[in-house]
Amino acid sequence: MSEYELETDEFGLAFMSAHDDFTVTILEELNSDTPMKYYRVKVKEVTQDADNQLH
Amino acid sequence: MLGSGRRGSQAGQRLLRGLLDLLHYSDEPREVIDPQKHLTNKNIRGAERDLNYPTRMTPFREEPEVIYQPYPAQSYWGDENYIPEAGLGDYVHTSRQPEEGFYDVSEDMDKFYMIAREEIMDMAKTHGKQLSPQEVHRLATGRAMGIAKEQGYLGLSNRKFRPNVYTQFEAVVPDLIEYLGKVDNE
Repeated sequence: MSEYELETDEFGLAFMSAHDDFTVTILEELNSDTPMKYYRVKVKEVTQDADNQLH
Repeated sequence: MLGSGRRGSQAGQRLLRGLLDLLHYSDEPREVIDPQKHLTNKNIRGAERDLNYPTRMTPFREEPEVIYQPYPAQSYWGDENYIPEAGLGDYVHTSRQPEEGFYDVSEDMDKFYMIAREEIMDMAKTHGKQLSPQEVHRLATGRAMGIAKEQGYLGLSNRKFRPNVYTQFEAVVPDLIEYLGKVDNE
């Protein structure tokens, strides 16, 4: 289990939220200069690849 | 084709046949909506351009260097219920496509995102690269989109978070181009 924050567009948010390996909480919608929506999110991850990431 | 007619009112019938009328806005009429040109558009800035940002997977000065850039170019479309943001342009290009041709990323039934993460983590391990969660997610999102393209999908949908927006991977010749702005004598 690891926990971190990241910024993502709406497609990345959807991909990640589709899986039980991640619990994704939207912290805020970020200002965007394009039609795409961007978010800062908090992620709780239970996947094994979390061990290979910088925290 | 440049026309001025309003969109048909048979959306219900088209939906029954599984067809979508997708709309792409621009500030000039375009014979082809080419996703390769999307990221060179001066109006596309900041985070949206970051999707295509290449990542060096090998340590600095190590040769041969491996640069990873998995994001597939896409054009962006709205369906008939999409309310365009200001500044997208007054020319609307319409393309009719089968709904089943779009991969819903908010379901990710075939786990493309998870497959992509595994590929990226394997690649990082091979090259001794430490990736931040932000980098892993950005690369995995781009790679998962690329897998959808390789699997033959026309593009992506996002029913949960942006139900009226679609992307398309290939260049599209619009069925119809309409001008929504006012003409001088109006």
